[in-house]
Amino acid sequence: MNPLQGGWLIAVSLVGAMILAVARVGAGPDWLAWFRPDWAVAVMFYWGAAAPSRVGPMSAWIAGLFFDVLVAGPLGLTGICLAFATYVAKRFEERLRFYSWIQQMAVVLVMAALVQLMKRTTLLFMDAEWSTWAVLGPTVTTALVYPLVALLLGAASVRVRLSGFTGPLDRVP
Amino acid sequence: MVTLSGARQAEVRPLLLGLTLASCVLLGIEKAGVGWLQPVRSALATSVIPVQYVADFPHRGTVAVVDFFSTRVRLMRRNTELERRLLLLEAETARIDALQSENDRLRELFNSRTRLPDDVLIAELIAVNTDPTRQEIVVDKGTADGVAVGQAVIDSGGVFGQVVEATPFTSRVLLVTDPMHSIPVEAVRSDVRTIASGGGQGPHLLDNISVTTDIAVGDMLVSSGLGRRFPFGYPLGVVESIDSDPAQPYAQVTWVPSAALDRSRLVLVVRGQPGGEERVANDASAETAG
Repeated sequence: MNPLQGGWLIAVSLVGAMILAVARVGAGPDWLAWFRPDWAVAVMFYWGAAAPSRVGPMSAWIAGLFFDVLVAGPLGLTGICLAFATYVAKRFEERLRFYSWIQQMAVVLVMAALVQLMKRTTLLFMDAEWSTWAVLGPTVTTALVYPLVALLLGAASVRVRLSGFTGPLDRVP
Repeated sequence: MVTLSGARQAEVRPLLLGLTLASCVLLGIEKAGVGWLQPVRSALATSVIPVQYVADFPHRGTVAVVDFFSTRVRLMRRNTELERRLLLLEAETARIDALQSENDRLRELFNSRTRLPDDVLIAELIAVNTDPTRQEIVVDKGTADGVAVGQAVIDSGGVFGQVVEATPFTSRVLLVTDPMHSIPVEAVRSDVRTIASGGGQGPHLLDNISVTTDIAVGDMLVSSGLGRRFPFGYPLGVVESIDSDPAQPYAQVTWVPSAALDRSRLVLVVRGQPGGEERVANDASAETAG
Protein backbone atom coordinates (compact mmCIF):
# COMPACT_ATOMS: atom_id res chain seq x y z
CA MET A 1 0.00 0.00 0.00
CA ASN A 2 2.98 2.25 0.60
CA PRO A 3 5.85 0.77 -1.39
CA LEU A 4 8.37 3.49 -0.62
CA GLN A 5 7.20 3.61 3.01
CA GLY A 6 7.00 7.37 2.78
CA GLY A 7 10.53 7.74 1.42
CA TRP A 8 9.26 10.08 -1.26
CA LEU A 9 8.68 12.66 1.48
CA ILE A 10 12.43 12.81 2.06
CA ALA A 11 13.02 13.29 -1.68
CA VAL A 12 10.32 15.96 -1.89
CA SER A 13 11.77 17.82 1.10
CA LEU A 14 15.19 17.82 -0.59
CA VAL A 15 13.75 19.16 -3.83
CA GLY A 16 11.99 21.83 -1.76
CA ALA A 17 15.32 22.72 -0.14
CA MET A 18 16.90 22.95 -3.61
CA ILE A 19 14.18 25.31 -4.84
CA LEU A 20 14.55 27.51 -1.76
CA ALA A 21 18.32 27.47 -2.21
CA VAL A 22 18.10 29.12 -5.64
CA ALA A 23 14.71 30.92 -5.56
CA ARG A 24 15.07 34.53 -6.56
CA VAL A 25 13.88 37.21 -4.21
CA GLY A 26 12.75 39.99 -6.53
CA ALA A 27 12.34 42.76 -3.98
CA GLY A 28 14.42 43.61 -0.95
CA PRO A 29 17.84 45.10 -0.38
CA ASP A 30 21.00 43.41 -1.70
CA TRP A 31 22.40 42.53 1.73
CA LEU A 32 19.48 40.17 2.24
CA ALA A 33 21.35 37.69 0.04
CA TRP A 34 23.91 37.16 2.82
CA PHE A 35 21.17 35.84 5.09
CA ARG A 36 19.75 33.04 2.96
CA PRO A 37 19.39 30.01 5.27
CA ASP A 38 21.26 26.85 4.32
CA TRP A 39 18.04 24.89 3.76
CA ALA A 40 19.85 21.72 2.74
CA VAL A 41 21.69 21.55 6.06
CA ALA A 42 18.51 22.23 8.08
CA VAL A 43 16.53 19.55 6.21
CA MET A 44 19.33 16.96 6.28
CA PHE A 45 20.01 17.56 9.97
CA TYR A 46 16.34 17.00 10.72
CA TRP A 47 16.17 13.73 8.76
CA GLY A 48 19.44 12.55 10.26
CA ALA A 49 17.91 12.92 13.72
CA ALA A 50 14.29 12.01 13.04
CA ALA A 51 14.74 9.14 10.58
CA PRO A 52 18.28 7.88 11.20
CA SER A 53 17.58 4.50 9.60
CA ARG A 54 16.52 6.20 6.33
CA VAL A 55 19.02 9.03 6.01
CA GLY A 56 22.71 8.72 6.74
CA PRO A 57 25.97 10.33 5.66
CA MET A 58 26.05 8.30 2.43
CA SER A 59 22.66 9.45 1.12
CA ALA A 60 23.41 12.98 2.32
CA TRP A 61 26.66 12.98 0.38
CA ILE A 62 24.94 11.87 -2.82
CA ALA A 63 22.22 14.51 -2.37
CA GLY A 64 25.01 17.03 -1.92
CA LEU A 65 26.23 16.41 -5.48
CA PHE A 66 22.91 17.72 -6.83
CA PHE A 67 23.17 20.84 -4.67
CA ASP A 68 26.70 21.39 -5.95
CA VAL A 69 25.69 21.46 -9.60
CA LEU A 70 22.63 23.55 -8.76
CA VAL A 71 24.65 26.35 -7.18
CA ALA A 72 27.66 25.73 -9.47
CA GLY A 73 29.91 24.98 -6.54
CA PRO A 74 32.82 22.54 -6.70
CA LEU A 75 31.57 18.93 -6.75
CA GLY A 76 31.79 17.17 -3.39
CA LEU A 77 31.65 20.28 -1.20
CA THR A 78 27.98 20.29 -0.20
CA GLY A 79 28.18 16.50 0.02
CA ILE A 80 30.68 16.52 2.85
CA CYS A 81 28.81 19.37 4.60
CA LEU A 82 25.53 17.42 4.53
CA ALA A 83 27.25 14.18 5.56
CA PHE A 84 28.69 16.05 8.54
CA ALA A 85 25.24 17.46 9.39
CA THR A 86 23.67 13.97 9.45
CA TYR A 87 26.61 12.67 11.48
CA VAL A 88 26.08 15.37 14.14
CA ALA A 89 22.34 14.64 14.04
CA LYS A 90 23.01 10.94 14.66
CA ARG A 91 25.32 11.76 17.56
CA PHE A 92 22.75 14.04 19.17
CA GLU A 93 19.71 11.99 18.16
CA GLU A 94 18.82 10.79 21.66
CA ARG A 95 19.71 14.00 23.43
CA LEU A 96 17.72 16.10 20.95
CA ARG A 97 14.56 14.33 22.12
CA PHE A 98 14.97 15.84 25.58
CA TYR A 99 16.03 19.25 24.37
CA SER A 100 13.73 22.25 24.22
CA TRP A 101 13.45 24.16 20.94
CA ILE A 102 16.00 26.69 22.16
CA GLN A 103 18.52 23.94 22.98
CA GLN A 104 17.91 22.25 19.62
CA MET A 105 18.46 25.57 17.86
CA ALA A 106 21.71 26.00 19.78
CA VAL A 107 22.93 22.61 18.49
CA VAL A 108 21.91 23.60 14.95
CA LEU A 109 23.65 26.97 15.36
CA VAL A 110 26.98 25.38 16.28
CA MET A 111 26.62 22.68 13.61
CA ALA A 112 25.69 25.25 10.93
CA ALA A 113 28.61 27.47 11.95
CA LEU A 114 31.03 24.55 11.53
CA VAL A 115 29.47 23.67 8.17
CA GLN A 116 29.70 27.26 6.87
CA LEU A 117 33.29 27.60 8.09
CA MET A 118 34.18 24.32 6.39
CA LYS A 119 32.45 25.47 3.20
CA ARG A 120 34.05 28.93 3.06
CA THR A 121 37.51 27.64 3.96
CA THR A 122 37.32 25.07 1.17
CA LEU A 123 36.09 27.75 -1.26
CA LEU A 124 39.06 29.89 -0.21
CA PHE A 125 41.33 27.08 -1.41
CA MET A 126 39.31 26.99 -4.64
CA ASP A 127 40.25 30.67 -5.26
CA ALA A 128 36.95 32.24 -4.19
CA GLU A 129 36.96 35.33 -2.05
CA TRP A 130 36.55 35.17 1.74
CA SER A 131 33.53 36.76 3.32
CA THR A 132 32.73 36.73 7.03
CA TRP A 133 29.10 37.62 6.39
CA ALA A 134 28.74 34.54 4.21
CA VAL A 135 29.62 32.48 7.29
CA LEU A 136 27.63 34.40 9.90
CA GLY A 137 24.47 35.15 7.90
CA PRO A 138 23.46 31.61 6.88
CA THR A 139 24.53 30.23 10.29
CA VAL A 140 22.10 32.43 12.22
CA THR A 141 19.21 32.11 9.76
CA THR A 142 19.61 28.32 9.49
CA ALA A 143 19.23 28.03 13.28
CA LEU A 144 16.22 30.36 13.15
CA VAL A 145 14.36 28.43 10.43
CA TYR A 146 15.18 25.03 11.93
CA PRO A 147 12.08 24.82 14.21
CA LEU A 148 9.89 25.64 11.21
CA VAL A 149 11.54 22.92 9.11
CA ALA A 150 11.28 20.43 11.99
CA LEU A 151 7.60 21.16 12.68
CA LEU A 152 6.67 20.96 9.00
CA LEU A 153 8.59 17.77 8.22
CA GLY A 154 7.52 16.18 11.52
CA ALA A 155 3.84 16.77 10.79
CA ALA A 156 4.24 15.54 7.20
CA SER A 157 6.06 12.38 8.33
CA VAL A 158 3.25 11.45 10.70
CA ARG A 159 0.71 12.05 7.93
CA VAL A 160 2.42 9.88 5.30
CA ARG A 161 3.48 7.28 7.92
CA LEU A 162 7.16 7.47 7.05
CA SER A 163 8.74 4.23 8.17
CA GLY A 164 11.84 4.62 10.30
CA PHE A 165 10.51 7.94 11.57
CA THR A 166 11.23 8.17 15.27
CA GLY A 167 8.75 10.90 16.12
CA PRO A 168 8.68 14.67 16.18
CA LEU A 169 11.63 15.88 18.17
CA ASP A 170 9.65 18.20 20.39
CA ARG A 171 7.91 15.28 22.12
CA VAL A 172 9.67 13.61 25.01
CA PRO A 173 9.18 9.83 24.66
CA MET B 1 12.98 3.40 18.91
CA VAL B 2 16.36 3.12 17.30
CA THR B 3 19.10 3.80 19.77
CA LEU B 4 22.53 4.93 18.89
CA SER B 5 24.89 2.46 20.45
CA GLY B 6 28.62 2.80 20.50
CA ALA B 7 28.80 0.08 17.87
CA ARG B 8 26.67 2.05 15.39
CA GLN B 9 28.65 5.19 15.94
CA ALA B 10 31.78 3.19 15.26
CA GLU B 11 30.37 2.06 11.93
CA VAL B 12 29.39 5.60 10.90
CA ARG B 13 32.82 7.09 11.55
CA PRO B 14 34.78 5.15 8.87
CA LEU B 15 31.96 6.01 6.44
CA LEU B 16 32.31 9.72 7.23
CA LEU B 17 36.06 9.44 6.81
CA GLY B 18 35.62 7.68 3.47
CA LEU B 19 33.18 10.34 2.25
CA THR B 20 35.57 13.10 3.35
CA LEU B 21 38.30 11.43 1.32
CA ALA B 22 35.96 11.07 -1.67
CA SER B 23 35.09 14.77 -1.42
CA CYS B 24 38.75 15.71 -1.17
CA VAL B 25 39.50 13.71 -4.33
CA LEU B 26 36.63 15.39 -6.21
CA LEU B 27 37.66 18.84 -4.96
CA GLY B 28 41.25 18.13 -5.93
CA ILE B 29 40.18 17.24 -9.47
CA GLU B 30 38.08 20.44 -9.61
CA LYS B 31 41.01 22.51 -8.36
CA ALA B 32 43.34 20.96 -10.93
CA GLY B 33 40.89 22.11 -13.61
CA VAL B 34 41.44 19.09 -15.84
CA GLY B 35 37.75 18.73 -16.71
CA TRP B 36 37.45 15.03 -15.86
CA LEU B 37 34.24 15.73 -13.94
CA GLN B 38 32.58 17.63 -16.80
CA PRO B 39 30.44 14.66 -18.01
CA VAL B 40 29.20 13.96 -14.45
CA ARG B 41 28.51 17.63 -13.85
CA SER B 42 26.72 17.95 -17.17
CA ALA B 43 24.49 14.94 -16.44
CA LEU B 44 23.64 16.13 -12.93
CA ALA B 45 23.05 19.69 -14.14
CA THR B 46 20.53 18.42 -16.71
CA SER B 47 18.59 16.72 -13.92
CA VAL B 48 18.29 19.92 -11.86
CA ILE B 49 16.94 22.05 -14.74
CA PRO B 50 13.31 21.62 -13.55
CA VAL B 51 14.33 22.93 -10.13
CA GLN B 52 15.82 26.03 -11.74
CA TYR B 53 12.63 26.67 -13.70
CA VAL B 54 10.42 26.20 -10.63
CA ALA B 55 12.66 28.48 -8.56
CA ASP B 56 12.33 31.16 -11.23
CA PHE B 57 8.54 30.76 -11.34
CA PRO B 58 7.60 33.50 -8.81
CA HIS B 59 9.56 35.99 -10.90
CA ARG B 60 8.14 34.78 -14.21
CA GLY B 61 4.66 34.62 -12.68
CA THR B 62 4.78 38.24 -11.56
CA VAL B 63 5.85 39.36 -15.02
CA ALA B 64 3.10 37.27 -16.64
CA VAL B 65 0.41 38.66 -14.32
CA VAL B 66 1.53 42.24 -14.97
CA ASP B 67 1.45 41.56 -18.73
CA PHE B 68 -2.00 40.00 -18.50
CA PHE B 69 -3.51 42.98 -16.74
CA SER B 70 -1.86 45.57 -18.97
CA THR B 71 -4.50 47.86 -20.37
CA ARG B 72 -4.97 48.33 -24.08
CA VAL B 73 -3.98 51.99 -23.82
CA ARG B 74 -0.77 51.08 -22.04
CA LEU B 75 0.12 48.44 -24.63
CA MET B 76 -0.58 50.88 -27.46
CA ARG B 77 1.59 53.52 -25.81
CA ARG B 78 4.35 50.97 -25.40
CA ASN B 79 3.98 49.91 -29.02
CA THR B 80 4.29 53.51 -30.22
CA GLU B 81 7.37 53.97 -28.07
CA LEU B 82 8.93 50.78 -29.47
CA GLU B 83 8.14 51.84 -33.04
CA ARG B 84 9.80 55.18 -32.41
CA ARG B 85 12.90 53.44 -31.06
CA LEU B 86 12.93 51.01 -33.96
CA LEU B 87 12.90 53.92 -36.41
CA LEU B 88 15.81 55.61 -34.64
CA LEU B 89 17.77 52.35 -34.52
CA GLU B 90 17.10 51.63 -38.20
CA ALA B 91 18.44 55.05 -39.11
CA GLU B 92 21.47 54.38 -36.93
CA THR B 93 21.97 50.94 -38.54
CA ALA B 94 21.86 52.47 -42.00
CA ARG B 95 24.60 54.90 -40.98
CA ILE B 96 26.66 52.06 -39.46
CA ASP B 97 26.22 50.00 -42.66
CA ALA B 98 27.73 52.84 -44.65
CA LEU B 99 30.63 53.11 -42.21
CA GLN B 100 31.04 49.32 -42.29
CA SER B 101 31.39 49.23 -46.05
CA GLU B 102 33.81 52.12 -45.92
CA ASN B 103 35.77 50.30 -43.23
CA ASP B 104 35.79 47.12 -45.34
CA ARG B 105 37.20 49.04 -48.32
CA LEU B 106 39.91 50.56 -46.14
CA ARG B 107 40.76 47.15 -44.77
CA GLU B 108 41.10 45.86 -48.31
CA LEU B 109 43.63 48.61 -48.94
CA PHE B 110 45.61 47.31 -45.98
CA ASN B 111 45.28 43.72 -47.28
CA SER B 112 43.31 42.67 -44.18
CA ARG B 113 40.37 40.37 -44.47
CA THR B 114 36.91 41.84 -44.05
CA ARG B 115 35.39 41.42 -40.62
CA LEU B 116 32.25 39.28 -40.76
CA PRO B 117 29.35 39.89 -38.41
CA ASP B 118 29.16 37.58 -35.38
CA ASP B 119 26.56 34.83 -35.26
CA VAL B 120 24.41 35.46 -32.20
CA LEU B 121 21.70 33.54 -30.38
CA ILE B 122 19.06 35.02 -28.07
CA ALA B 123 18.95 33.37 -24.63
CA GLU B 124 16.74 34.02 -21.64
CA LEU B 125 17.92 34.15 -18.06
CA ILE B 126 16.41 31.41 -15.88
CA ALA B 127 18.44 31.49 -12.68
CA VAL B 128 20.86 33.65 -10.74
CA ASN B 129 23.55 32.29 -8.44
CA THR B 130 22.34 33.19 -4.97
CA ASP B 131 25.80 33.20 -3.38
CA PRO B 132 26.58 36.92 -2.94
CA THR B 133 30.29 36.31 -3.53
CA ARG B 134 29.61 34.95 -7.03
CA GLN B 135 28.27 36.77 -10.08
CA GLU B 136 26.79 34.05 -12.24
CA ILE B 137 23.57 33.41 -14.12
CA VAL B 138 22.00 30.45 -15.92
CA VAL B 139 20.44 30.91 -19.36
CA ASP B 140 18.00 28.65 -21.21
CA LYS B 141 20.19 27.71 -24.20
CA GLY B 142 22.69 24.86 -24.16
CA THR B 143 24.89 22.68 -26.32
CA ALA B 144 21.79 21.58 -28.27
CA ASP B 145 21.54 25.16 -29.58
CA GLY B 146 25.25 25.39 -30.33
CA VAL B 147 26.37 27.06 -27.13
CA ALA B 148 29.86 26.05 -25.99
CA VAL B 149 32.13 26.89 -23.08
CA GLY B 150 34.13 30.05 -23.71
CA GLN B 151 31.58 31.86 -25.87
CA ALA B 152 31.00 35.52 -25.09
CA VAL B 153 27.64 36.77 -23.86
CA ILE B 154 26.45 40.32 -24.52
CA ASP B 155 23.31 42.35 -23.98
CA SER B 156 22.07 45.57 -25.54
CA GLY B 157 24.44 47.59 -23.34
CA GLY B 158 27.64 45.66 -23.93
CA VAL B 159 29.68 42.68 -22.73
CA PHE B 160 27.78 40.62 -20.16
CA GLY B 161 30.08 37.67 -19.44
CA GLN B 162 31.17 34.34 -20.83
CA VAL B 163 29.84 30.79 -20.86
CA VAL B 164 31.68 28.68 -18.28
CA GLU B 165 29.54 25.54 -18.30
CA ALA B 166 27.16 24.17 -20.92
CA THR B 167 24.65 21.36 -20.51
CA PRO B 168 22.38 20.23 -23.37
CA PHE B 169 19.62 22.69 -22.43
CA THR B 170 21.11 25.34 -20.17
CA SER B 171 24.40 27.13 -19.72
CA ARG B 172 26.06 28.99 -16.93
CA VAL B 173 27.44 32.46 -17.59
CA LEU B 174 30.15 34.08 -15.49
CA LEU B 175 29.52 37.83 -15.40
CA VAL B 176 32.24 40.40 -16.11
CA THR B 177 31.92 41.64 -12.52
CA ASP B 178 32.80 38.28 -10.93
CA PRO B 179 36.10 38.45 -9.02
CA MET B 180 37.35 35.50 -11.08
CA HIS B 181 36.65 37.25 -14.40
CA SER B 182 39.06 39.35 -16.45
CA ILE B 183 38.71 40.69 -19.96
CA PRO B 184 41.27 42.37 -22.24
CA VAL B 185 40.02 45.86 -23.17
CA GLU B 186 41.14 49.05 -24.82
CA ALA B 187 40.13 52.64 -24.17
CA VAL B 188 38.42 54.08 -27.25
CA ARG B 189 39.85 57.61 -26.85
CA SER B 190 43.51 56.76 -26.33
CA ASP B 191 43.78 53.13 -27.56
CA VAL B 192 45.41 52.16 -24.25
CA ARG B 193 45.20 48.40 -23.87
CA THR B 194 44.70 46.84 -20.45
CA ILE B 195 42.81 44.16 -18.58
CA ALA B 196 39.53 44.84 -16.77
CA SER B 197 38.92 42.61 -13.77
CA GLY B 198 35.68 42.09 -11.91
CA GLY B 199 35.57 43.09 -8.28
CA GLY B 200 32.50 41.21 -7.03
CA GLN B 201 30.49 43.49 -4.78
CA GLY B 202 33.31 46.00 -4.51
CA PRO B 203 34.81 48.30 -7.15
CA HIS B 204 35.93 46.78 -10.45
CA LEU B 205 39.54 47.63 -11.31
CA LEU B 206 41.70 48.00 -14.40
CA ASP B 207 44.93 46.03 -13.92
CA ASN B 208 48.38 47.63 -13.85
CA ILE B 209 47.67 51.15 -15.04
CA SER B 210 50.80 53.22 -14.45
CA VAL B 211 50.28 56.77 -13.18
CA THR B 212 51.44 58.21 -16.51
CA THR B 213 49.02 56.22 -18.69
CA ASP B 214 46.68 58.31 -20.82
CA ILE B 215 43.36 57.35 -19.30
CA ALA B 216 40.61 59.66 -18.05
CA VAL B 217 37.34 59.44 -16.18
CA GLY B 218 34.53 58.73 -18.64
CA ASP B 219 36.73 56.87 -21.15
CA MET B 220 34.78 54.15 -22.94
CA LEU B 221 36.31 50.67 -22.67
CA VAL B 222 35.72 48.15 -25.47
CA SER B 223 36.82 44.53 -25.73
CA SER B 224 40.14 44.40 -27.55
CA GLY B 225 39.76 40.82 -28.77
CA LEU B 226 43.30 40.06 -27.63
CA GLY B 227 42.32 37.10 -25.44
CA ARG B 228 40.69 35.51 -28.53
CA ARG B 229 37.67 34.81 -26.36
CA PHE B 230 35.67 38.01 -26.68
CA PRO B 231 35.04 39.47 -30.12
CA PHE B 232 36.60 42.84 -30.83
CA GLY B 233 34.77 46.08 -30.29
CA TYR B 234 31.93 45.40 -27.86
CA PRO B 235 31.60 48.05 -25.13
CA LEU B 236 32.43 46.83 -21.63
CA GLY B 237 31.95 49.95 -19.54
CA VAL B 238 33.33 53.36 -18.71
CA VAL B 239 36.12 54.51 -16.42
CA GLU B 240 34.50 55.67 -13.21
CA SER B 241 37.34 57.05 -11.10
CA ILE B 242 41.12 57.35 -11.11
CA ASP B 243 43.13 57.52 -7.93
CA SER B 244 46.74 58.16 -8.87
CA ASP B 245 49.14 58.57 -5.98
CA PRO B 246 52.58 59.72 -7.27
CA ALA B 247 54.22 57.58 -4.59
CA GLN B 248 52.69 54.42 -6.06
CA PRO B 249 53.78 52.86 -9.36
CA TYR B 250 50.21 52.05 -10.37
CA ALA B 251 47.01 54.08 -10.33
CA GLN B 252 43.76 52.69 -8.94
CA VAL B 253 41.36 52.90 -11.86
CA THR B 254 37.77 51.71 -11.40
CA TRP B 255 35.23 51.01 -14.13
CA VAL B 256 31.49 50.43 -14.21
CA PRO B 257 29.88 47.90 -16.57
CA SER B 258 27.64 49.26 -19.32
CA ALA B 259 25.59 46.06 -19.63
CA ALA B 260 22.48 45.92 -17.44
CA LEU B 261 23.88 43.01 -15.43
CA ASP B 262 21.12 42.93 -12.83
CA ARG B 263 18.21 43.85 -15.10
CA SER B 264 18.59 42.16 -18.50
CA ARG B 265 16.40 39.11 -18.96
CA LEU B 266 17.38 38.55 -22.57
CA VAL B 267 21.02 38.22 -23.55
CA LEU B 268 22.88 37.33 -26.75
CA VAL B 269 25.32 34.44 -26.90
CA VAL B 270 27.97 35.14 -29.53
CA ARG B 271 28.15 31.67 -31.07
CA GLY B 272 30.41 31.22 -34.00
CA GLN B 273 32.98 33.80 -34.87
CA PRO B 274 33.29 33.53 -38.62
CA GLY B 275 36.20 35.96 -38.53
CA GLY B 276 38.19 33.86 -36.07
CA GLU B 277 41.31 33.46 -38.19
CA GLU B 278 41.13 37.06 -39.27
CA ARG B 279 41.12 38.17 -35.67
CA VAL B 280 44.30 36.26 -34.96
CA ALA B 281 45.97 38.08 -37.82
CA ASN B 282 44.45 41.32 -36.58
CA ASP B 283 45.77 40.67 -33.05
CA ALA B 284 49.24 40.10 -34.40
CA SER B 285 49.18 43.34 -36.34
CA ALA B 286 47.72 45.13 -33.32
CA GLU B 287 50.57 43.88 -31.17
CA THR B 288 53.24 44.96 -33.59
CA ALA B 289 51.51 48.33 -33.88
CA GLY B 290 51.34 48.73 -30.07
